[in-house]
Amino acid sequence: MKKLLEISLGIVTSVGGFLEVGSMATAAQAGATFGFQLIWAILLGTVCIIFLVEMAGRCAAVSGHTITDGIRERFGFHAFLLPLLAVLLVNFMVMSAELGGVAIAAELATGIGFQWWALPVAFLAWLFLWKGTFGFIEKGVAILGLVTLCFVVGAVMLKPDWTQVAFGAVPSLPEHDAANYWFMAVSILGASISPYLFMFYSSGAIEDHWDKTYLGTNRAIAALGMSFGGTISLGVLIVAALVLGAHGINQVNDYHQLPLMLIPIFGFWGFVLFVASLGIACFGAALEIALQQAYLVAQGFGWTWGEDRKPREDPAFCGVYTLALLLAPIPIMLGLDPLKLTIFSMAVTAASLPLTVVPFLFLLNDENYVGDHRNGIISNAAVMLIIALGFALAVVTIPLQIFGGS
Amino acid sequence: MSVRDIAGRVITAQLPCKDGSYRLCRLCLLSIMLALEACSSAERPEQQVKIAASASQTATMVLDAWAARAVPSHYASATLQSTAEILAEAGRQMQSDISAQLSTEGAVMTAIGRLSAAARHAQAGVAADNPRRVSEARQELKAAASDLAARARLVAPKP
Repeated sequence: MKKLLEISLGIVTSVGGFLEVGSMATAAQAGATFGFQLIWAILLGTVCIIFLVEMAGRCAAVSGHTITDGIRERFGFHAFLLPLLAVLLVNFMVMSAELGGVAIAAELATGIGFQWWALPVAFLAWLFLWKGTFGFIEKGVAILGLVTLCFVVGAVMLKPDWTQVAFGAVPSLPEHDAANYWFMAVSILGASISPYLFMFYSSGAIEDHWDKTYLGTNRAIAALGMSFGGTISLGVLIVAALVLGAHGINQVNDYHQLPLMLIPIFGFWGFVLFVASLGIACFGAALEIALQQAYLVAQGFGWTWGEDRKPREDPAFCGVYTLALLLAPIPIMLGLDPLKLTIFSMAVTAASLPLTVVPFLFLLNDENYVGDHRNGIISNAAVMLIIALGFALAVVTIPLQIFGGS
Repeated sequence: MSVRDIAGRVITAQLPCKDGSYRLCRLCLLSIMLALEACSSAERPEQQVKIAASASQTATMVLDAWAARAVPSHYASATLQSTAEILAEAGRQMQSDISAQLSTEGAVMTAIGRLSAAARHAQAGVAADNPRRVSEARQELKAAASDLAARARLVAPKP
């Protein structure tokens, strides 16, 4: 009964915490421009993240090591430095984008420019981390994040042609704007396969004292939680296709266009639901990334770490998330467009994937770490596919972002 | 710097590849550049027309939502202002294109200019909470959008 409750809570947490500014923006752009044609990209991204999250949890439960901890110990500190710096940089950009998402939500709610909200939002996030516990951060915000289910409700209420939706699950060549189509596809994959998501999950497993008895729980949370989370992204895409696309809005290049998605379905409450979804989802993601920055550095340098400890017990750990939250709002305060920053940070996320996934693959095949619970053929093939995808994303996305993307 | 400029530099650049692979390296880079040039649509007039058409639909949808009291005035006003800026930028992008000197593309630019002006009028009406002014601006927007759609067919690439 206790395990069932844990699984349910884990799934709820995964669902509530799945959607963030990247998945919301990319799914909305894809739906508005290409209708249901890019559903396959969301499905592929979701399958990839299911495998990665399962591996991250398995590694933590069996070896007692987080991914960061394991990579540093297995490859040595010098080899670990490059992935560390790359992930820190990517996380910094994604965290800025998430804070930008909360700031936009605040602007939509109040009419005061998003630049003014960046620092107060960062301070509020810092207060949550300073005063809160891991359970509070992980479950509290994620449960509030269930408001994002309004996109799924909206998609069902719009009564889409489910046959067309099913056709979208099969990759197909675009009828127009080929460059934009592939750019959207790689952006969706970049948004779905976020390194911070599975790295945070592995740290969370250690914070929650997981052991081998949690392997089944881990599998259920990874498969069901991420699948339901992916369903919300699908909901965003379907709503964008049936509302924005149907109204002739097929170029989403301004964040002001996004709230229009839910208004024809829910009226004024659609506006409120969009603002709440964006604000809560991005705030939750910003908290997780700030914590992930602290986990990365503390685990990398072997410092004492843990969100459940008092700040005086792990001052360096707390110092890292404090510094991260001090620096991340700067691009938003300087007026950088949060939507453009989001899309660019998704591209950079995609580029960084091989740096984190390759060492992770070695770890998951090392008997010294995972014993009999090493990757099987399917898991290894999945990880290799992710590496290939990551490499393709890196090669294709960045030039497209510079020359062809919008 | 355009893709064409970069491709030109690649042709003349001394790449850090060994003799045997030098040509291959240059060929690969050139292929990527040419593929990007072929795919890149950001600077083309039809792309600007799409952006303008989409922005005008955004303005119409926001005005309808505002009239139905489904969005707050500050949001409608900010969205219309932003839409007017996007339309003005689309007009500027078209102007910077050499081929925009042609009369058909000049007419498209005029239609985009009308759309931008209509969005600004609508924004002023929303800011003043004046439904009559907003309604007039909406009509203006609709007429300019139809005009753009008609002229855009002349700019669209022939199959």
